[in-house]
Amino acid sequence: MQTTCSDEVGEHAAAVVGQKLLEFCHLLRANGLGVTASRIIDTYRALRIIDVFRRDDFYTVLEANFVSHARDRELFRQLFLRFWSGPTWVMPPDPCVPAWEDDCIPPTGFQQPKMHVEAWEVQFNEAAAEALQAVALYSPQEVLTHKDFGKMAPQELLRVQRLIMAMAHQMATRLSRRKKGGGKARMIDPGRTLRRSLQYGGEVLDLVRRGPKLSKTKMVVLCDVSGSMDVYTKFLIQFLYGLQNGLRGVETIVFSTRLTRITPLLRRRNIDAALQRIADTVQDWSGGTKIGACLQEFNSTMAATMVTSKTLIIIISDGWDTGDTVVLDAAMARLRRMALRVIWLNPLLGSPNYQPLCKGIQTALPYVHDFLPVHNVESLRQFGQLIARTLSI
Amino acid sequence: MECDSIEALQEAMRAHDYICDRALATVVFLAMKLQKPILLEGEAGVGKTEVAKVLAAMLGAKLIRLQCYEGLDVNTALYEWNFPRQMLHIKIAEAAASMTAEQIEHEIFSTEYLIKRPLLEAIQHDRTQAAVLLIDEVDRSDEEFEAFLLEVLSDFQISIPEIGTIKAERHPLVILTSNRTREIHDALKRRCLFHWIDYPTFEKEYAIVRTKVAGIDVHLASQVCQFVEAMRQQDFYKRPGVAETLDWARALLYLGRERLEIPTIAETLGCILKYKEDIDKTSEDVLEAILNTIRA
Repeated sequence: MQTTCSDEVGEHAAAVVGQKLLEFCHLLRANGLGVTASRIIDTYRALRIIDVFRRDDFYTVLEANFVSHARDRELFRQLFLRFWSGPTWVMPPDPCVPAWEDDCIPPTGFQQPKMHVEAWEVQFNEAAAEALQAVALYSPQEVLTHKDFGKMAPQELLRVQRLIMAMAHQMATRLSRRKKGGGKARMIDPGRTLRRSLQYGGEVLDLVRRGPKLSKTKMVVLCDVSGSMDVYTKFLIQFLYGLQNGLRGVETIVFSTRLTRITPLLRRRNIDAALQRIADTVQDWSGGTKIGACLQEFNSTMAATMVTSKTLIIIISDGWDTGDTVVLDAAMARLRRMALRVIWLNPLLGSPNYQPLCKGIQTALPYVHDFLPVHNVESLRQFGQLIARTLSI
Repeated sequence: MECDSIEALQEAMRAHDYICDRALATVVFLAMKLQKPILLEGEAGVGKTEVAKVLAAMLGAKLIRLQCYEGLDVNTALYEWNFPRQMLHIKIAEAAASMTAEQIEHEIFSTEYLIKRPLLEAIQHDRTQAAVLLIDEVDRSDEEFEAFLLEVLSDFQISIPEIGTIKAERHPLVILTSNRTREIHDALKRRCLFHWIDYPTFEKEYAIVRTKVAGIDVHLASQVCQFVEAMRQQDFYKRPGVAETLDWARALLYLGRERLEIPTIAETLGCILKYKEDIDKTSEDVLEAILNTIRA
């Protein structure tokens, strides 16, 4: 190793660092960083070129190799500080590298208070049991389709779930097909036309055309999982799961007092495993709602990577906001400006005597393109038709 | 030009007017030694693209630039056949009746009829001269193109069905930049050394302004940097980058201002804030408050 300490002690220390590095890689991997074999090999190669005893360079090498998202940088820094905190390291001051506090706070990803899906289901079942008294048990599919999710009996849940999954799947298939066939003006492809002409000795007989490059519309779903939405959340998440697995470019985020991106969790094969993971990950399930603050956080953290002028933004919430309406107003204004279309889905809208009176909804309404109910299967279907129309523009 | 240490590289970049912190110098140094591409991310206007330009100038290398956009396809990035010329050749050969169809085909699908686009150019580049390949704003391209890029960057070879495989004799130094308008696929990221360019510290930005804006008053330069630094703490839709700081410093220099005052700032606010919404919420009171913090 080319190091400044060329004596035996130095060599030995470098070897120890090398050994420890593998352990560190395990730690990184356990925390969800993309550590692959080739990256580890590259890191070892890199460590041979630099002076491993300069901690700032060592840090840079590891970061350059193991971090690939801006959002992982802080986690990496914390893990690095925890792991490589040996007293033998002397830090040369470099103003461009963050200061090294040794009393570091554990990263947020370390331990999360768990709220299991069981607890959630208990709450859900209680709500459903209350509703049960009012509604007849037998329901053929048509009745089921129009029945409010909040008024469903436990026996009906499974059937509705299947219905929703089937519908989401069907919708996703239709949407992706629609995009493929949507070509308008078609141009002649000179290259392939020429190549085809060679078959006929250079005479152009067939004109080969190429369609326009199809653009992909992305969809960002922001779903409220606060207490007031409890009864509906499970169905909606299920619907989102089905939709996301059939369509590319759907991002799903849940919020109540804070935001959690659950897109990767919904990619799981098994819906139950996915729901379990979501319940484990989302900390503030069924808390109060701060829609404005959450949307603002979305705008400043995730919107840059997710929202373009071709993005559909779908907000699912009943609008019961305990936060500041000024914040909500600004956040909605910005969303509206960035996105192709803002659709607000409100389960309460299904009730015939609902009036959008609560502050949250009143603030948000002027910025919303569509305001639709999502309280039963039928309303989900109508929502599907709306997206299909929007995407085919 | 070869740099054999991180310090030498940092120094060489400084000599080309690029104030480069040690972390970035380390990553560039590694990229050269390990022959890996660099992925530079960071807010707009922190000097990502500039890194490639400076490196090219420093290494005496040719800068090959591929600007990405939505719908960028292989024909624009890699190669394309020169159809009009091929057509012409066919017609002439037909008129002269001197060649068979096979001969014509062989002739028109030779390198002479190939239009090289940036990626092919970078791969086929003359081995005597180094090349820096800048793939700018890769986040704006489509996923399909990204997958294709992944293939090119892993082997540095390209197969053209009619000609064969072309392999790079000397790997170019590859720099990808991204503004994170969307996440780049993990597979591509894993190929690269990642580096995040942050907004500069006051000291660094001050050095940049002094280097890039010749003739600026020391006091004004310091005030400008402090002010912009304070502005970045505000919640703006688009916070000012280094490029904005430089624009502003130049503007103030041309206007002959020697110090920051509220009317001056208000007049030239368009140099650092680019959105009406941001300008609207920056009232004179806000400016006053910021100015007071930097005076303190």
